[in-house]
Amino acid sequence: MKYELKATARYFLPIYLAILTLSLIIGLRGVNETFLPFLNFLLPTILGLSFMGLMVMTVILIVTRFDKNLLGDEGYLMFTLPTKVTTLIHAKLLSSMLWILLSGLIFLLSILFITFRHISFLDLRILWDTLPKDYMFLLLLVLLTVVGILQSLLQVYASLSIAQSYSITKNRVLGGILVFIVISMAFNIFESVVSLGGTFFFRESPWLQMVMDETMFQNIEDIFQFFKSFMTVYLVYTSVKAVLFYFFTKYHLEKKLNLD
Amino acid sequence: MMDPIIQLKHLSKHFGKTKALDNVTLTIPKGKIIGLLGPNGSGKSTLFKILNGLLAPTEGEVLIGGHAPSIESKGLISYLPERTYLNDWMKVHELLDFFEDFYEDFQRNKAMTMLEALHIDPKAALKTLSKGNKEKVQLILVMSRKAEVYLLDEPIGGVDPAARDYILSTILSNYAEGATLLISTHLISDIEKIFDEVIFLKDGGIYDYASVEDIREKSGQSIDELFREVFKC
Repeated sequence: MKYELKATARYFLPIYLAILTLSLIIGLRGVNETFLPFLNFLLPTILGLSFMGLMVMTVILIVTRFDKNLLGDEGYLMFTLPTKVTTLIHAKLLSSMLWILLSGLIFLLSILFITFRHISFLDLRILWDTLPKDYMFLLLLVLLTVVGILQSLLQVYASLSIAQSYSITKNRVLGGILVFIVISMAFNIFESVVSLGGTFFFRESPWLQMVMDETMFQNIEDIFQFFKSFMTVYLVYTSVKAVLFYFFTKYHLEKKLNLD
Repeated sequence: MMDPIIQLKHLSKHFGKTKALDNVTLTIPKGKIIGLLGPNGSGKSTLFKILNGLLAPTEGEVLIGGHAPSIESKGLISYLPERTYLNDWMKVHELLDFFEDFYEDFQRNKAMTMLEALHIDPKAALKTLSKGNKEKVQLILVMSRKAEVYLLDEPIGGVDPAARDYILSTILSNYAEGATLLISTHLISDIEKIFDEVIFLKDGGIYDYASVEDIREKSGQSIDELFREVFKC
């Protein structure tokens, strides 16, 4: 874990720093500053590009760290260490998770830096107070984000592990992408069938009609209620998927390792 | 026979239609230095990878000190693969930290002494080192462990002849007492003087497994000469 963080920090920290400085400069200049007008265009462009770069880099690093460090030459070291395979997976998973969350935080911070001259904190306070305080909803939202990220990461890991076990293509990453697409399609089909089936069976159900009517016309509390039950179902489904991918990864790295 | 440290039972590994290892049964005792000899593609590296749990065998069983490849067996084995497996961006002393963290039997002072003797700066980043020096660092890390089994895959392949003798003596003077060394190599004449026993691998099977003395007495040849005769193209 320690080494995984160290290895990835080399890439992330510099770009975080760059983004924050850039947003700070933009924020300090103010949007309507006339000084050096071309900067009005240039700076946001650079910032936008850095964000895109950050996103692309995050994805690429997640894939290459797993591929190179575990399935490439470095795997000869990692898999001969007297540690559990699960420890290796956890280290990768947690540090990737951390970087994704940090990237999100940096994004928010950067927005804040850019706009801090134009927003009053009093307004924010009032906005905050008027929002309905539904902690259950917030909790669900956070859980859903976290589990969603974990699930996607694990799908990437599972795809790469499966691809290496059966040497699907000469190029490991390419094989991983193929497996990833196949898995995604399979789940898509499954999800469509379920939701189609759902609408088919419930289309004449008076209960659903009632629920729909209620949510359409009732107050905000009820809409929240509806969202919450929907989110809970989705959360459980995503967790199941995540666990499934976790065991796929573990099985293929433990029992079907095939380093070349 | 003495206590076995490595046992292979009917071990096979197939890659598609090719049989890298074909029904190998073998028992290796403790405390011997054994040469694993065979031409390219005879299954030497595959055998090493299976012993380390890097490859799952198609059939058969492997036991190292009584354990199937697992955390327990990995703690017993010190493995030098035929390729460089180290993080390029790490510095040599960071690699020492890494090994110290993961292996209880890693002896840091031993590693430092060897680095010094081979004039390798512990503060150097690995990517600034030459290929030969990287291999030396790897060998130093592997030999600084007090393991029960050392699996060395081509340990002197990329090293210049002048350093070979030093490395051989490093291997001999640093391996833990009572441990077993399994060394694969093409450079037989350089290294055969240190072997107690040799295993000849041919087409994924064991062609011969005998002590060096027996071979010399029986055939009147050196291992190198015998190898050339057996595997003549």
